[in-house]
Amino acid sequence: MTAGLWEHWVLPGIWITIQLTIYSAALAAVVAFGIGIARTHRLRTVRFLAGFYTEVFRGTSSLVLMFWIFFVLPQLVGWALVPMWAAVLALGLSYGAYGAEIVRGALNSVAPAQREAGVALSFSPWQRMRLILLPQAIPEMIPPFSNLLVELLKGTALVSLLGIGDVSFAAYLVRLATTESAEIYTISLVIYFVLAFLLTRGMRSLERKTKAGIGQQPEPRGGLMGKLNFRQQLATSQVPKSSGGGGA
Amino acid sequence: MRRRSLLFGAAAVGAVGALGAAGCSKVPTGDTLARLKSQGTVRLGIAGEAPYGYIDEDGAFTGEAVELAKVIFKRLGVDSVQPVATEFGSLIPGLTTQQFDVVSAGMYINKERCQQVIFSDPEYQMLDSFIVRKGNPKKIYNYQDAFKIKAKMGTGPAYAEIDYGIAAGYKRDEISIFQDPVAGMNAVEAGRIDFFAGTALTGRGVVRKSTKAEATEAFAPIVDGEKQIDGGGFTFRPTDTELRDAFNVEIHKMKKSGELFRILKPFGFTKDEMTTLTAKELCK
Repeated sequence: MTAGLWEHWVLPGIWITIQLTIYSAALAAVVAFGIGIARTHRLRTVRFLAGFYTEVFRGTSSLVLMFWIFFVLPQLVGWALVPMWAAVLALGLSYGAYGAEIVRGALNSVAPAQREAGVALSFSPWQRMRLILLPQAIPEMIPPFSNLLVELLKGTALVSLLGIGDVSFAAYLVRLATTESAEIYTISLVIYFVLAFLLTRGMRSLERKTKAGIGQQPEPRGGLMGKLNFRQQLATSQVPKSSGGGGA
Repeated sequence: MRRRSLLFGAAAVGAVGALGAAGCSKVPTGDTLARLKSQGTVRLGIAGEAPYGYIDEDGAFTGEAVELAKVIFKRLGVDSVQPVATEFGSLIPGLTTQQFDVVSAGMYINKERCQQVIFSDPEYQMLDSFIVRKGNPKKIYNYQDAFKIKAKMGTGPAYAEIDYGIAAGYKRDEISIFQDPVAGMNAVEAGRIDFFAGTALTGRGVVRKSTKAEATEAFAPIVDGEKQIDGGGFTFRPTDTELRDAFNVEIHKMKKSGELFRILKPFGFTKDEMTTLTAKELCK
């Protein structure tokens, strides 16, 4: 590997991968919260539409969706999205659909009594969501979101098939330039690992913060002390771990 | 080109709608040459295949087709070229959807591809060669021999070599497809396939550093009892006939003056690869 290959392909590739991850994650977060909250709406039509979106985007392949936006859409509408935005759109829309299920599940796992208390205090639905449900649901969402974010990071590798110069595409070109597969593939594995590790650490600290925000102890670190902490946490928190079900 | 599209076929299934217009650019129409002149730059689709269009060891774009495009487009009044790297299989879809203006990947001109795009007259003609294990233990020198001993064949996506294999008796699903010649060489080294079929120059270039693989002598593949000589040219959208014709005028001048050979020579081309074939003949 020469300095030129690093400078022109691999380093810009890392930056593109980071950008793709950030932009897609931002779009996915907006979609996830929008759709996820809509799935707990009291109107049946809203719930149905949100469910429809989730099923469609979760059920279609994000790779094919990306190809579709990239190759088919320009012919249909006469406008071509810049490759980067085509990729962000495809990734954001499909990962947002996965995220929406996480949001719905976490909202449904907040104890019904909490919502009823809000009703009794004549909070508006929006106040209930913002002040009661979300603060308790968000800490529950973070571990699955962390998983999804790492998935998304690795999902960005799909863009290399569109010729966008991310880490995987750089690896493809470097491999052709050096006719050497082992070196660059090993390097790209390490690059993805480091990026994923940083993401999970970041999410972990976010989890601690949001938990502290509703008066919960940070996750136990294991060992005897950890077990003691865990009991204490159960006693203080009102969040039952039941999942799914629950009238939306 | 034979990738009649995994991309389109599969992609059409995903019917999704309504999108915002941020980050869009209008799909250009009208006189392409005039547009390129006023932009001062032309986007070249390349496939990362040496010696046609690829990244060299310093990370810069090069290749015979890229260097040739630089010279010709300058003469047509377009000052700079901007290579866009993609996979070989995405070249024609990328061209038709305006990701780039010309494919400069030394793409073989053949009947199937001519139904989708138009070609300049070829800048070179080419024989095939196989990448095989060192010493060629199975004695594979052409498609017919290989088929007789049931050697496992591999080639690239949408490569013309797939048809040569089929003409020798292979079934389409018996041929393994690898992303590019380096992957093909790795597959030969690992024993996944017995030979990887590609152009003679590709084969020679790729195995340069390998200790486990080598390239066979170049040969003309035989289809229906006839020797096939392939020619590679520049690829344009079917509507860009004017651009293609202007391009052809320059390429013919360069053939006559010998300038074409001077440009191609550093990439390993010899006099044997210079050609008088036309795109029309190769499209048949």
